[in-house]
Amino acid sequence: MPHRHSPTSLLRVSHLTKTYDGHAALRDVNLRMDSGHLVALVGHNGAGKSTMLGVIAGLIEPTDGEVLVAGEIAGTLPARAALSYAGDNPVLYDDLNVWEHLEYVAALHGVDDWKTPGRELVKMFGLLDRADDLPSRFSRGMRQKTALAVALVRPTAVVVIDEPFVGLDMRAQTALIDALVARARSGSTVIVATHQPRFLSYADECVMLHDGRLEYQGPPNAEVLVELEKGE
Amino acid sequence: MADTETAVLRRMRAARRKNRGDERDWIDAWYELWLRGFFAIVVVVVVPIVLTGDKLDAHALAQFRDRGPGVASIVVAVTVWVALRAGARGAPLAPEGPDVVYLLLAPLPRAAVLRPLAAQQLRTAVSAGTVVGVSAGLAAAARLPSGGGAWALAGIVAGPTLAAVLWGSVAIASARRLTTRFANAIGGLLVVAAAADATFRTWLAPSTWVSSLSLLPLHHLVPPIVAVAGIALAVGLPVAALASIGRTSLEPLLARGALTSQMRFAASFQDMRTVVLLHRQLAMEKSRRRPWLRLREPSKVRRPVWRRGWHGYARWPLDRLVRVVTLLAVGSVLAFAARSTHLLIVPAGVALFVAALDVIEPFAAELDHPTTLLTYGVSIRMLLLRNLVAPVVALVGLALIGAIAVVPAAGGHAGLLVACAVSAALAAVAGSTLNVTLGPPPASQLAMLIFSPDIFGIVLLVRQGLPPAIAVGGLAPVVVASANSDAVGIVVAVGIGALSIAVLLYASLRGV
Repeated sequence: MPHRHSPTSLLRVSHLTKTYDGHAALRDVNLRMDSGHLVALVGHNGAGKSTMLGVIAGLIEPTDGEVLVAGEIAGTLPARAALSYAGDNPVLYDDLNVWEHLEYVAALHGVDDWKTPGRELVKMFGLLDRADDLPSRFSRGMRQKTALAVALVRPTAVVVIDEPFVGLDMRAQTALIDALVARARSGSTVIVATHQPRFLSYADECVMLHDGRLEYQGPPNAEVLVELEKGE
Repeated sequence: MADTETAVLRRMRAARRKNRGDERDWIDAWYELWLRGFFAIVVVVVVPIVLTGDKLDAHALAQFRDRGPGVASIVVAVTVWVALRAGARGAPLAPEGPDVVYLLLAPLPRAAVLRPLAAQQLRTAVSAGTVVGVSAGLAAAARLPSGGGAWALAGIVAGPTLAAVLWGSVAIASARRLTTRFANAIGGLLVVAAAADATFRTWLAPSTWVSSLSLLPLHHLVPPIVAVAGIALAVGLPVAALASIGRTSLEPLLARGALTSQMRFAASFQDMRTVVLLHRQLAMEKSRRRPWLRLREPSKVRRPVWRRGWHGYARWPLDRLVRVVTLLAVGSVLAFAARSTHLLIVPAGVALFVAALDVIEPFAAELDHPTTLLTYGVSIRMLLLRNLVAPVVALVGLALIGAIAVVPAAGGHAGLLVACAVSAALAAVAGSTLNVTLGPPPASQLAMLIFSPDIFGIVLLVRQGLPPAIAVGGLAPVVVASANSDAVGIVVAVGIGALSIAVLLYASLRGV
């Protein structure tokens, strides 16, 4: 995994355009994100954040342009191996418990040593007492915590998370921020779409979208914070 | 796929089965199996008995031999067209949401994940096709020469063949990522080719090859090479689809999995309104941004509810428009055929009922948001009632146009046709309105079902069966007139029309 002090571009987005029925969700977006960066992806509702994360994850295909994840085209087998994604809505099997989810996803990616990081994540999110239970019996917040633990259980070059703070209590939000910062410090590029102003103080970089266009990329500043708080 | 990944998939599938087994009672599993068997027997045994009739005379048989292959080919071509369009929108696969997020985003070949799901769907489609094929074959045997055995055998071949062709068409359109425009172009060409076969009595269209299998028992009609081509198509299309299934786009899959499971849940509770809404999402049916027609802007809006209804219709997507018109046409044809086979009014009425579920959209949309309804500063009863005026006018209008159009073909009977059209349209709107206002069975009735299934099962059946039964009842004048006279049929139609209006009033008030 690349080291934080020798930043290389783990994610390159070139001329990315995505249209739905004639409506452009993303318009000619160009950006690159370096390794070891914690990136806040911000913008008002409908700005194109979820679409952009979906394209990076390989779930959504671009209408035009290209996305490279660790040098590979998004959605291809090597790109999928290098990326971990958690959507804005926790998606879990109703018939696998928390441990079985962690084991399954880690094993699918060829990660044998999932128990130690898995246990840490489960403990960190306060799921230890319920880890043998099925997510179908969980509250929305607990499902969100489980989905985040599943997304973070394996080491990847890029982590992409959409609106992770929705439904989380303050303790879990703090735990999540700590986990994301630690992941970025270990060399991953972590991209988080959020409306949470608090998160900006931890981010190394901020990407702001407006009506599908890239409005700003750079360190978080007061202007971005004001924009974010306006939308709160 | 590497051995280790295969082992992981196998281990987790076993864990999921075990966890599901812990949750599920074995009685439920047996009950599901029993229901499937029961429906298969009903389709194979009861439907042919219901649809029985007299043998065709020599003239009718000659006409059937002459026109049957062409008509069957056009029906198959139109069905394949619909299948291609469905495939262009992401059907038929609907994996579970977590499978999309975890399995299809894992570094595994996507074909290895999707192929078992596709193969399972194909097996189900072929099994259902076999049951329906045998049933249709036995029904045909009552009217056509060659005996029950030959027709049943033809059904066993033709049913699964058609099912495989349809599934293959949907799956290949999805896997090859056909655009809707391209799917329309191919579908249109198929229909044109089928129409050419029907006109020139040739066997050149692919849909003619497939449909020819259903006519095999008619001696010296179907050239053997045509039947072989039909079977080759039924094998080739699914094989090609399975080979390229890994190329299926993930975009529609994520939504389809969730929508399909919600739709199954709603259907199990007989919540038709939810099924309609979910089906629209699944088919990506969105109202048009630009309406077909713009209503004139008056200086002062005097009838906002009436205008709301027509604003909605003016934005109907083409698919919904085609679906409703097709259902009305199918219902009308079946109703026409019900003059000799009376029980055909049942599928005819059900077709009109389903069409009306779309037509009463302005009324149903208000009921979808009961809290918003409470915030309007007008009488809710009047508001709901007024929301039914546009649907009644729309459906009765369409029915009248259809009735007047077929007067020459029916050899007169204009009065009866108009009366039947109006009573059928009113009854269909009344039935669908009642269905929407009744909604799914309340929790109290479902709880009683557990304690007293014999009584409350029947109560629930009547409750949920009544709305389509009203729509079927709207076609009773057809049967009455065929057994008596046009005049008696018209009198019955007027009575049913009046009854339907009463049901409509009751249902709209019940919705408050």
